[in-house]
Amino acid sequence: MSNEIMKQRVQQALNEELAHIHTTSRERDQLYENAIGGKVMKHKMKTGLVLALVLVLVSAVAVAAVLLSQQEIVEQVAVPMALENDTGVVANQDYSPEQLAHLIQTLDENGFTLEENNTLMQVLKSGQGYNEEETIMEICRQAFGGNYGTWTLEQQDWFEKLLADIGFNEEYTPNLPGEGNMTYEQAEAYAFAALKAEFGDALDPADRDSYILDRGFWRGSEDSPAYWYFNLFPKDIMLGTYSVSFEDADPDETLEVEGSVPEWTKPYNADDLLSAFTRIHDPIYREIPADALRRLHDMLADAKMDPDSISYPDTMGYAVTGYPEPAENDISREEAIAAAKAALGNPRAACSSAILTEYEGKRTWLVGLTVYIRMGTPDEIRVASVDSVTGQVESIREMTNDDSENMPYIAEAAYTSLREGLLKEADYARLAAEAILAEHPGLDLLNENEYEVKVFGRDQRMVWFTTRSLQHGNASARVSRDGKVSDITVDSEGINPDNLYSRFWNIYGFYSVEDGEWESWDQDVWVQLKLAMDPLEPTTIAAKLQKMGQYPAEDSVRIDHRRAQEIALGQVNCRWADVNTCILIDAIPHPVWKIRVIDDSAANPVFEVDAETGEILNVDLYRTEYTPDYVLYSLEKNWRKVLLDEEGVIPLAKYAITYKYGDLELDIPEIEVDNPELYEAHVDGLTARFTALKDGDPDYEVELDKGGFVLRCEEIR
Amino acid sequence: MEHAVVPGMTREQKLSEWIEQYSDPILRTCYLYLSDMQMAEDALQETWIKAWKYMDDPSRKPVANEKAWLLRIAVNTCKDYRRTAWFRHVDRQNALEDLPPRFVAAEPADNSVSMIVMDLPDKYKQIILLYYYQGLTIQETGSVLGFSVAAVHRRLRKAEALLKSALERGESHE
Repeated sequence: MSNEIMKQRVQQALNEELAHIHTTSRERDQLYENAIGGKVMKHKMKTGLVLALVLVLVSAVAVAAVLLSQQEIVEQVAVPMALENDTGVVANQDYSPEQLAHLIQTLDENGFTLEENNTLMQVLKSGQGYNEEETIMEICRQAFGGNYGTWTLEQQDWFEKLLADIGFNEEYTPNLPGEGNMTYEQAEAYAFAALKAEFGDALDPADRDSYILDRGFWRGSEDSPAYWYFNLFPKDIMLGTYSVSFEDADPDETLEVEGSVPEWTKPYNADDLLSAFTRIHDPIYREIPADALRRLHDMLADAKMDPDSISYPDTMGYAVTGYPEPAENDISREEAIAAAKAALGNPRAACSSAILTEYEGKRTWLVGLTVYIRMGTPDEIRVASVDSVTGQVESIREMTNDDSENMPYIAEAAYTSLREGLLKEADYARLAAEAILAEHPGLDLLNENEYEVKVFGRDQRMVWFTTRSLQHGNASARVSRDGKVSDITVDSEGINPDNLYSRFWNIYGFYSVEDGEWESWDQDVWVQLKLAMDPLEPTTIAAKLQKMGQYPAEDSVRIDHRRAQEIALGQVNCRWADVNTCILIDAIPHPVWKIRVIDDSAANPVFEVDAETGEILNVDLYRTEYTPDYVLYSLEKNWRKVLLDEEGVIPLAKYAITYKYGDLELDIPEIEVDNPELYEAHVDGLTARFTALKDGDPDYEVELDKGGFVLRCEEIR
Repeated sequence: MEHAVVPGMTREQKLSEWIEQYSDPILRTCYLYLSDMQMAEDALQETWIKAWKYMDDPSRKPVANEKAWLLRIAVNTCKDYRRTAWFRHVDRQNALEDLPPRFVAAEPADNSVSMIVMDLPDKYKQIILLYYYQGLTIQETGSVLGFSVAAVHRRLRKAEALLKSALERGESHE
């Protein structure tokens, strides 16, 4: 075959075979728009398809003759998609919006249509993706009912295997009893007998109409024995909560039974009733059934009310609101929902509740409409009042931070009048600002350009004023429900080299000590920090290192932060590892990316990656509670040298000893060689020796070089 | 070498013209290279983004003509995709086979030319796609791939042999 003939043949064959692969005019328009805007559509479905899936679930041609069960859908569709998401270096934990749409479509095609207020449908409507594990959990809830603890052990075990498959858990932990363990039936019988023995006839653990049974088995490990647990959660507010646990091998000796039989005596305390009610029927998470509301209403009729109680507007609201059965001249629930949605006019809104109420002779449907905004932010909740006779929508109220979560269930007029006079969020902020200004004049606390204001809490409110400027610090105060202000704190110092860093945190990210996670800054912020620090003379080690550090702009190097993070993640043998901080620091011969990777170890690795060659130059260690933060934003050679110059050998020696000999899995892994009650320290030049004062504890010796790096670290027994 | 923008034509007009003219051949090339329709669509989009960004960049390396330049961007984009850990991790063939048929773009038959091309090692696949399928000259192919003419010739000889052998096997099955 000649060259030309082959060329023609290949062209013709490929063009014929690939004739179905082409772009439409509309798609080319979109390509153009995206090119100009620089936006790459990753696996984006054709325009409108995602919305179409929501509004009119597409009936795809069924190829399979046999419908899949939900479990099979998880195994055959959800898990492979989750595996597709994994880069091979780390496991991506989220489904894309397209993947979520595909799953929901698959469920629908196989007969499992999700309710519109189902979490997955809400997320889909918002155009977002969702966490893989939570998505699969939601499908399983639909399939098995209840929650994880109410599933059979076999269902729980199957789920655990899935979590390991999709990389949510590093490994599969079986939770089925094996040979030598009690059977489930034996364990349950033992648990129920223990409950009866403790609580007598007041409790019937086998009564599934009264209690939800939550159970599980932990097969144990080398360090911990196998055990069983059973919890009983009440379905009625008059009932209590109970739990039983025991070790499989020795139940009698290890049996723990907890709970109490509630003693309800009339007249009931209204606050107690509402607490018990909310524990079972939380208005935020699921719709409260009408018969439960009727029961609460009836019980509150004779209950003791405390007008000073924070719950009073709600308890009285439920007491005065009736919940009648719909009558012939009432519009139906469906009609009320349709009217409310039409009036709101937001296609993304889903009905979260609809209840017929009666107040002072007037019957009204209260329809809760929820719009899911995005992960991490609250839903938008509206409550529509629909006249139950005419079907007219009388009002649509938005639930704000000043409102109660019981708002969708209390008649509007009662709700409004009972809350008159209550302080609103803006009132708390104003009172706090006035009190602070009285002590610290000149702070413009209510100026949105200067401060971000947040109000927290329920009874006593905390008001935080977070600065947006480097020139002043934060302020806070506590305000009671009756407007009294206390606990005022103000950072009124001018800017100095030692508070500059915390001022940057105020503006660019809050370092949560509890979580131990950094709010990661963009490289630009480090550049600004450096510029702000340059004219100052710091005194603390951290500030000195911030000044010493040079933070170049990212576009000055060949390897960008994404590639650098890939390099770092590729070193970690943990599928769900994630990058926490990633900072470009000037160095010789090339700038270095300093990257902290959070994996499954207690002390996380911190890589130094050459930003021109991609070579890994160094690996440091960081543990939130124990390691100074400057390890994350300084080259190791810098922080070691500064620490050695400022504080001598002992801190670096302690650091070395702890990381070599301490059990880093413990909450406090430190080996306190600097504690004079435990060790006698002797320093000779760059060598430190620590002699244990307690019998049985080892001695240690550490030798450093001039740069503070460890030459030798030994345990001496 | 052609300039990116013809005098009198704006950049926007030029891009629009390119998209009209070259989207389909680039898309098919990317599909053959990546064996995945969604990735090919992504690569196509990325090609246009880069084309827009660099069409007037005086520092860009010279290519024989605009089509060759665009194909170079596309081929390099496809190479980047194949280099990502994601792509390495997932066995594309198995992933496709595991999905129900309706979730897979229309797949070529086993003995089709498309399948033969997709099965070739990358270095020969590139040559086939550029020289045979897109009809570039030896020089143009070399400029796209960054090879000398001699290197293109060497690879072409090997690619031809592989392709010819596969085509002849396919004919014997028909």
